[in-house]
Amino acid sequence: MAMKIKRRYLLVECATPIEERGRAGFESMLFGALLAQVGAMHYHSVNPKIAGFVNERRFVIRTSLEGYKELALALAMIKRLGGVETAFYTLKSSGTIKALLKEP
Amino acid sequence: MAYYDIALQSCNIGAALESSLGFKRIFRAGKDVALMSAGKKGNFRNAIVSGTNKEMLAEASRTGARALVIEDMRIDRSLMDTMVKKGTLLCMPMRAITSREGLDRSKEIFLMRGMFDYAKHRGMHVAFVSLAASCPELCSSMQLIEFARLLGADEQYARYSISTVNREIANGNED
Repeated sequence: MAMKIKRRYLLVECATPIEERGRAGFESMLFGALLAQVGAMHYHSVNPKIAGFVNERRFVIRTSLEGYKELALALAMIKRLGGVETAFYTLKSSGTIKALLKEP
Repeated sequence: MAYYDIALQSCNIGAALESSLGFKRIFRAGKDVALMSAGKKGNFRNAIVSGTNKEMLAEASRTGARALVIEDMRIDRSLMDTMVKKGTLLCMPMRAITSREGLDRSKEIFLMRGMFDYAKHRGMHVAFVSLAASCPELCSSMQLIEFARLLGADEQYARYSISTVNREIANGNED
């Protein structure tokens, strides 16, 4: 029987707006920056994937349970993306998207 | 648990950003709490004093500085002795990590880990603050906790530091 992979979802706020048209480009730039921060050896264990965009600044990123702390750190260390000064703030983390997006 | 951070006065933070980052309050160094350079003359009482000159930092600790930022992150035993005796807090600015890149960042993490390890061994209280000069240098409370863990703190100490020690720097022992 295959083991269930436990995942974690992070709600991330970007300091600069993410344009709707450029979301695919944003995704690849972000993953490139994350790869540079966590390194090729750890990237597969973090295994990030954008699960959805909440608004023009916020998005949900999916990661493995063991890699979510590393991902929060890596996001904090990204200060430039595509030549633009920006920052990523990890606001919340949860095991489900529903709980993550629930208002406090 | 309510979390607090300290940023520089130049960092223009709105109340909405403050709460969305998970902080009850982000204090401004230079406004809510005095921030002074160790080489300068003045009253260091209850101030955060930063610098590299260990003699000057020790003098600031003796004259009542609330917290010290040792900018070069080099351990000086006599300075640490003075800080322990006077109850001066050690301030670790995360900006030193986030504003650097590549090998410089790795070196800074290495030095800060050593500094934290020694400070903890001597029983000092360590504050993990962003000391951000601008909004992109800020971290959320969750990221600040992870930075503290990266430097060797356990989760319980990281949370204690970001809630109690950071508030103590800005407010003294009062609430």
